[in-house]
Amino acid sequence: MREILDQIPYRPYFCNLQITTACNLRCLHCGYSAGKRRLNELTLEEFFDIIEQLKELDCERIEITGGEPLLRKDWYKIAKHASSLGIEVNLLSNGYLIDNEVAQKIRESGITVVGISLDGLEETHNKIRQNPFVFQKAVRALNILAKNKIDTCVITTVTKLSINELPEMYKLLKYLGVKMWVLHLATPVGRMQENSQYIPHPSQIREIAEFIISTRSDRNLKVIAGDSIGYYAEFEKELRDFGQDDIPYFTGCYAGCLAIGIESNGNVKGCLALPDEFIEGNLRERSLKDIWFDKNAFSYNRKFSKDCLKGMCKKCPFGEICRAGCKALAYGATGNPFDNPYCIYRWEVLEKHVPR
Amino acid sequence: MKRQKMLNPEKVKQEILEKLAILKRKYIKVPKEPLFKIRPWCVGGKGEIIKR
Repeated sequence: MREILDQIPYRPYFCNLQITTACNLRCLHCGYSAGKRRLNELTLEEFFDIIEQLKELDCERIEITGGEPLLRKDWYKIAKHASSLGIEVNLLSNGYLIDNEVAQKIRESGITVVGISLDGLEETHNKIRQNPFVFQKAVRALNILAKNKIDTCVITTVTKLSINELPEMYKLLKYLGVKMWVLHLATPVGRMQENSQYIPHPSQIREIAEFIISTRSDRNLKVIAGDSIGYYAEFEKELRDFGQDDIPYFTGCYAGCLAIGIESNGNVKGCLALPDEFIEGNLRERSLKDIWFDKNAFSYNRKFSKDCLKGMCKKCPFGEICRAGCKALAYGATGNPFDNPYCIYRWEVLEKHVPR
Repeated sequence: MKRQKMLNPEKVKQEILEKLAILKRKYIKVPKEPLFKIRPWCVGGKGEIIKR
């Protein structure tokens, strides 16, 4: 299935822009092990320049993230610069610092959707985020954003602690007026490597996927399976289908093809969830265009062939389509981006019926 | 949820190629447009909300 990769124009349509690693929380599952600010973070002027370079390469959407991006005093200037260039800007926050004044700045800076992390009901969320007040703060933030007529999206990293709480969370999010809910599987990268006991077992992925499908008839709150949840169970189409302008199956990770991640020190990756081994260059040393169009860059996706697949993924009839799913998840689990045990089809069919 | 038969890989590949051809015809007039929109990486965007 090189056909898809061969036909898409490689452009960073989506950019995950990390503006700081500073964070007011120490979440057990944080992929960046965020906490302290990097000493060599990009200046405001450097961010402006990078945003202009992104625009030149047809970037359509920037997601401002951290750490906790609101800890950076000039966050709204970065957002405003991007939105003034016609780029859609989203913000991902833990909600702790959001009050009416911040909500006003969010509106003024042209941010269209604010994502708030919520990793379970109160006890679970506070445990994962190691702070007894953070659940109430997140709910308060969602209420404030709703009152200020700012669209919100909740992001949940699903752990063993939260799987059974998803239906109750759904009721809560509907009550709070949230419009979209994106679920991701806890991934063994960053701080989660030390807390791997909370990562769901591959046999539990079906339960998460079935929950997502069970919400499909309700149009008020759209629940979305992140790229780490799948793959190729009998309901794959129901899990992914977004409408007539989309391929209704999971066709692999597009890091470095349609998406880019930029770290707060200028390092460039296909996706911020990937570890340092996947850094393609630094924007203080090379231009974005130079890094993006480097013939050897993002080779794990751009140069993919069936022969890259390893382990059980090599024996999978869907392997060449899904390309081993989420690269960060595969790499975190096996040390190889082409061998991913967190897969419904692999767990239910290959592991049981195909000899190793 | 009642379990159904697993998907047929060849049929899935065929369906993807057919859809890809349709999208290619549709977007050929706008070369800068991606053939398909990237799904929400983390935060969903305005587009996904409007599409509900």
